[in-house]
Amino acid sequence: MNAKVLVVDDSLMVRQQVKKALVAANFDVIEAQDGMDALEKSDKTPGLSLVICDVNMPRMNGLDFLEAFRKDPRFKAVPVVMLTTEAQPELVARAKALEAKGWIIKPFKPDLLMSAAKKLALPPVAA
Amino acid sequence: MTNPFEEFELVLVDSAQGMFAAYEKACTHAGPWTPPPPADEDLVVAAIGFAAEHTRGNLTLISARSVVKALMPAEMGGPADAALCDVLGEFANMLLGRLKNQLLPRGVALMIGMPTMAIVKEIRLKPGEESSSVWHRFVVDDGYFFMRFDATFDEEFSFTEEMHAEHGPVGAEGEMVLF
Repeated sequence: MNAKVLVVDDSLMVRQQVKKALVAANFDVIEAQDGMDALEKSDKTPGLSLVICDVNMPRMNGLDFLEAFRKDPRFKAVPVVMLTTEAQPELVARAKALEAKGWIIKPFKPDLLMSAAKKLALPPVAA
Repeated sequence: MTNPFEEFELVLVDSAQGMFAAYEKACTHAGPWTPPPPADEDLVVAAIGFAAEHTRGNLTLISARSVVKALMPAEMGGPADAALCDVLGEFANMLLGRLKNQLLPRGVALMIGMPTMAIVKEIRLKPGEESSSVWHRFVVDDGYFFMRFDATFDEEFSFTEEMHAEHGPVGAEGEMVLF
């Protein structure tokens, strides 16, 4: 059984690039195009092992998603890594306060993303 | 006092080349350009607005459909209109992200909007004032892409006198910070 990773980004290009890297590392990937979509997908996906999430997105941004995600007891321990063009210390501090595990600045290096995913992802669990 | 428009412009020109290099694409600045871009085929357009205290503006990227298609990662499949728009919109977003990150230590925190993209047969943007609008042309593997940068600055706009590393980006493009 593969670990499941939720990839949240409004850019199809970024989602596809992240998916390619993660699938090569034997992860299953679920895609969401903004924070609202991510909340819906996470609700329907038991046993998430990791979330990779953009910051600037329409409808609900990545940090507001993270705040809502953390309020759900099911997702308290799910590691979240932010993947974004942003690198502003105040935004990083907010993510850290919401118990994100990392921050990657786009454009990302696939090897770096794969190593982070392998290091941080929770072991897969049966649904 | 340095001209902030020219400083923003220089960062964007450098960043455009650096961004393509990150995608292993050759990109050479071919200098300022007089609009409009040639329209031998459909054009893909991506525009994003930005603002910070005492400044506001817009970045527009334009390129031919075939050029954007060549930039698309293979995993995106065929060159559907939505995918072409997505690629140029993300490049515009990353370009302004680079500008933002370079301005942070100088006390300027840009707020960046969401990109708007379109595929058009022809484009005629309203000419801008010489002091607040500029076009640049870049040569990439399969042709050209064009960048128009518009920005206005209030008299009160200023960079901080010294660089403040603590306000700067937490890392460079492509880097990862683990908590």
